[in-house]
Amino acid sequence: MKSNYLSEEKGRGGKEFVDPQRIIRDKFQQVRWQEPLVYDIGRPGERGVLLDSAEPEIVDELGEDITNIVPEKMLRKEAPRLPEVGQARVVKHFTRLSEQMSSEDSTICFPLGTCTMKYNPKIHERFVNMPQFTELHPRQDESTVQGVLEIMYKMQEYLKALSGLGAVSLQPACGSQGVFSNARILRAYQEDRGLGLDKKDEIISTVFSHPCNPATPAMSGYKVITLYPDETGYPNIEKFKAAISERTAGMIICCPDDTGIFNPDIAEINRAVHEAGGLTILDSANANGYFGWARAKESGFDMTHWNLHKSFASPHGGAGPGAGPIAVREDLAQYLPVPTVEYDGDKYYLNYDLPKSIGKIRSFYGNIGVVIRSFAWVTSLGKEGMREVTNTAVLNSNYLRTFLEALPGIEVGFDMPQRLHEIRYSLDKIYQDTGFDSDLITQRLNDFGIGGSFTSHHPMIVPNPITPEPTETYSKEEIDEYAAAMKEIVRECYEEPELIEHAPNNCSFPNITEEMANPERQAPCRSVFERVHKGEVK
Amino acid sequence: MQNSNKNPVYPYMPNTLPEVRQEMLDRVGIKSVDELFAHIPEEIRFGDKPLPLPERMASEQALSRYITGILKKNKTCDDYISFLGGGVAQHYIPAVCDAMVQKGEFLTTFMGHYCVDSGKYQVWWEFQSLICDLTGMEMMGWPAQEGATSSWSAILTAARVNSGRKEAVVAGNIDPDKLRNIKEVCRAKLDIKVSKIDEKTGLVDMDDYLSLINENTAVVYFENPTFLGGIEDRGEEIAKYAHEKGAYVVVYVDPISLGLLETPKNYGANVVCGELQSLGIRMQYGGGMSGFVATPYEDKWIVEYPFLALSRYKTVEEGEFGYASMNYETVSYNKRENAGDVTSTCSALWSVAVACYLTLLGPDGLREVGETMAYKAAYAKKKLGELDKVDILFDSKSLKEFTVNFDKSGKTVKEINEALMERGIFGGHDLSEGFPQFGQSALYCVTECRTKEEIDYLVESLQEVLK
Repeated sequence: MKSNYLSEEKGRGGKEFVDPQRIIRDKFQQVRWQEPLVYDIGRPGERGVLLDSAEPEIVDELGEDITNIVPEKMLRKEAPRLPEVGQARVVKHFTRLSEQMSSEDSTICFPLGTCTMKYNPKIHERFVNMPQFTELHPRQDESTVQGVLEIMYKMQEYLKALSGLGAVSLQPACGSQGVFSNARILRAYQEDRGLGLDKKDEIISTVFSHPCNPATPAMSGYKVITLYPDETGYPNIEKFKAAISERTAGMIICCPDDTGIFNPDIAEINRAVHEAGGLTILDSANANGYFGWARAKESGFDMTHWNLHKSFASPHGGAGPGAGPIAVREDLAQYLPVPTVEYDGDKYYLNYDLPKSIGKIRSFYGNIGVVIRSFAWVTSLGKEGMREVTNTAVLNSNYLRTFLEALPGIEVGFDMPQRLHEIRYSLDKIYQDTGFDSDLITQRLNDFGIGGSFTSHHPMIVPNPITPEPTETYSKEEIDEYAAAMKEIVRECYEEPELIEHAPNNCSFPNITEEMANPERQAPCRSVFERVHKGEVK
Repeated sequence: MQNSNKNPVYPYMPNTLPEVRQEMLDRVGIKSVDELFAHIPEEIRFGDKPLPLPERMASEQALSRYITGILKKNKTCDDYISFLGGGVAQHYIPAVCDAMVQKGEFLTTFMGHYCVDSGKYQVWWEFQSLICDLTGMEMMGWPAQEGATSSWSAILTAARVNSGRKEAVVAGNIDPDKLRNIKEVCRAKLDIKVSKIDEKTGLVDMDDYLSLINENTAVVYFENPTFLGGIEDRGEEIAKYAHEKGAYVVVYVDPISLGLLETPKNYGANVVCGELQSLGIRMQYGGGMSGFVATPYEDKWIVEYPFLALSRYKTVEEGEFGYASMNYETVSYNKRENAGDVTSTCSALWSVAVACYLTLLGPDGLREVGETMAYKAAYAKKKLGELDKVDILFDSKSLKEFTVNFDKSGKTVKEINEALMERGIFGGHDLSEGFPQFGQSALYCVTECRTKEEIDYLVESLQEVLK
């Protein structure tokens, strides 16, 4: 590794890029195993594991002919083409593949903004791997699951405290299911008042709200009106007022949104929707920007959801299992998915007695492993610690900003000066100068051992965007390291373009190919892949 | 010694160290972090009010004691002999599956980027491929959140492909909770017609089921094996009729059956979906679930496929391959309200367990585990059926589940299960609320985890309980 002392200079933001002893991992080399497909290892007859057979007494009693037991016509005629591989080789296969990836455990993952990549405490893994949790069947008698119900109940109480709202369901399995649940509660509430889709059929959202915010109410039959930002970065109150009408059933938005902007008019906007008879739903996927500083209730929202796998330190698992619990106003509790977890002073129990419930969003009670981890996390932090999470995350983001804004060609998208936990920057000037877009530029980060970047949800309003989100668990040194790497890359864009052209140069993936844009060459599975490559294109 | 309250140490937040914080504040040019929140209007700012939460439990030791202590109050399917099923069941988990899903690399990564996360992408593509091979289908994406989500996603997807038609015909013998879920999710788009159940077999009442299928039907949905346990062997007849009427057929399967039993593709299914828990995922009080939706590889299905999917591509390096998403343009990440469905964080970690499970067992192992379950369940069914006050309710054949009726005993399932619990047994799931027409019935599940000895003990215990 070389220590890269960054020179003092003044960038566009006016901040001096003074920075001592920052390390750039310029000799980083990701593992490249050239591991074949799982199908191409092992051979017929190999086996990874042997399990019990039925006891001989059972077979004697029922006869050896399997057709005595299952209908003959239903027996599988041709065995599935699964691999046959000995156990040691199976372990090597998946272990090798696990070495060809970035993860929170090994990598600076915060360039993957909006995903709230943060440290996932190891102690939580002990809890969720206890057989007293893993071996619980969801249909067990309540008397045998008092422990897990206690945690669920107490987590509901935590979420009430963090939102100020009166009732919680832990059932949604991810953020989109949380939004979907709230959208369905909104519909049930409006229908109850005689204001079904024939009378109120519009939902208002903003373009910087997450894609599931418009997608799930549309699945429930609503038309979605999407508002675009002003120069400030958020739509002003007049835009909302112009969109609100008697057709308005409600509003679903992020606040703060993915640009890190907290809409300062939010209370007035909520009031305006309420005056039109609508309900308002807060997408709290960006809760890392508000813990202890704002709550759904005081901001005027009727409902919210969180992503426990983001803000609450549960690991992402590669894209789930997540959890998207919801909180709603007390009078909307009757619509919650069943069951909720209640406590009668003596024991915890599952409450199915919600006659107006929207039913279920997912089987059983939710991704409880994620709930246990998040419960442990909030417990370990307490009231002061939760606020400290946001204080630290927002300071980290604004600290990083001082470096990035100082680099030529990087600008903060939109005029709103104050930003919270993440900021959307534009690298468009660099693109205009050099032809390298923000995808390619951030791929070069991988060569310095830094994880994949998230640019922006679609549509890309900010041209050539990046959205780093340095959460509270990242040290100052790691933020400095990212900044130093970005500085080096910006220089390369202009002075050593050959390093950017095919980036990343030191990673497991061989490199991009023209095939990737060609639908005729796509293959989601082995049989299609074999066909395509025999020239029998679909 | 306790850390003082003024300068609390936070092991997960290094930048709370006072001198680091000061350096960062100085660089940002502010005196206090409070200034970063000053733009949140005072009327709504929570400000200095404390959150109504407990004080922190700072010590990892204390936290460990506290959470472990709570979880130890649970009694599990290791402590009791479990005959519970109905969507989730205790199956044997090969040690390799546990080891791989606990690896920090798989556990703490996210969606990743094809350049730097090629290992994750290869596992993901292998998972897609393994499910395609298992089902005989050719289009797969990442897993659904769980099985019920896969059911409604598959129904909505097939209905979008069959656009213009507004009805779905659903077999009445599915989990009542799932039926309610499907109805509620689909009601803005589809009218859900539910068939009667044949009281002799527990399978669909064929006359009634087929009579509901007509020119308005977009989708016909059934499950195999059914929730009530029977193996539906008339899939071909259903599919033929549905196709004649221009409807698509969606079949939900228990994938652990597919080494032994025919894949729905081969009796006419257009879409195969299901719950993957049986393939190497621990139950976790219902948290260990994962779904899948597999469709044909045709343009009309690809553009409506609900979840993000990966493709394998040749690269510029001879003999090396890369993986990248192939349908970003058509899912809700891009199309937002025009997608008709929603893709998001799903249950990706469990696809590692499933890929390991299918690879470890291979085609022979999967067939064998199917046979083991079928024998054990058939044995339990036979022995229970021989008891005086017990009836096996349906005469259809089973893979691992079957319905037991206790009406003759004069006891409720609740009473019986309480008595069985005293003997260390979790009796079958009580069906009396979900299916009141079947009286005091319970759904018994016998997986490969149950031994002959345990089944015999169940039979003896029931004999005593029902005396």
